[in-house]
Amino acid sequence: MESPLEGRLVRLRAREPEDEPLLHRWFNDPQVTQHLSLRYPLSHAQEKDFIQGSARIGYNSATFGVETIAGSQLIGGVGFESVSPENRSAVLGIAIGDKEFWNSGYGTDAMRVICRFGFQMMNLHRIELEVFADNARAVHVYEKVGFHMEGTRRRAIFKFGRYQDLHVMGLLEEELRWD
Amino acid sequence: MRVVRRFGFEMMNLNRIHLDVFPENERAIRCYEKVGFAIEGRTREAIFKHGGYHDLILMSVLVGELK
Repeated sequence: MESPLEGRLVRLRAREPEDEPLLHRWFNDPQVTQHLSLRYPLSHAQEKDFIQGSARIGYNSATFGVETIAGSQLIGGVGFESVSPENRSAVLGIAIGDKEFWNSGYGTDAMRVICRFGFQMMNLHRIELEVFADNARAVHVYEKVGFHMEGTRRRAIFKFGRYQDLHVMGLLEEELRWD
Repeated sequence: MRVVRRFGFEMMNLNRIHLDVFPENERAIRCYEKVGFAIEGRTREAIFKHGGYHDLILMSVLVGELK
C-alpha cells in the first residue's frame, strides 16, 4: 500500500523537539521569510513553543515536518490552519526552509502530499492559500498542482516599506494534479 | 456602512477594510459598492449551508477610495 504521507521525493512526519535548531535557523533567514508573513526575529523559546504546540497532531492541528525520502532529512514544514469541519475547508501554509532543496521539485511534491492528505485522510472539500502577488515561482507551483487563482486582496500586507497584494488561491477535491 | 468605513479610516488609521458576501445577496453587494468597496475575488465553494456549498465574493475598500 502506498503511504498517504509519502510522495515521490518527500515524506510528511510529526515535528520533534530536536527539529528546533533547524527551524530556528530557517525562520531567521531573510531569504526564507521574504515571502512569508513572518517579520520579527524568532527566539529559540518561540520555536520550542511552536513545536510543543504542534506536538498533538490532529484535525485542528495538522502540521507536519517535511523530510526527504532518500535521506530522511528535514527540509521544511507544511500544515493546515483554520480547519472548518462544517465547510470541510482549511488554509494551507508551506515553507521549504533548506535552500539546497529549492527549485528541485521538493516543494511541489510536499504540496501534493499535504493536499492529498487533506482530501483523503481529513475529508476536506476545499484548500485555500494566500501568496504574495510578486512570488511568481510559488504561484506557478500552486497552479501546477491544480490551484485556481480566485482573487487578489489589494494592499493586504505591509512589509519592506510598502503594502503588497496577496493572491487568494483555492483547490477543490478532485482538482489535485500529479503530472 | 458609511459611518463604520469613515471610523475605520479616520479614527483607526486603517489602510484596508474587507468583507465576504454571498453572491446571491445582490442587494448587499450594491450597498457595499455604493460606499466604495470593490470586488476582488470569488472563493469557490467556501461555505457550506442549507445542504450545499456556496461561493463567497471578496470585497475591499482602501483608504483614499472613499466615495
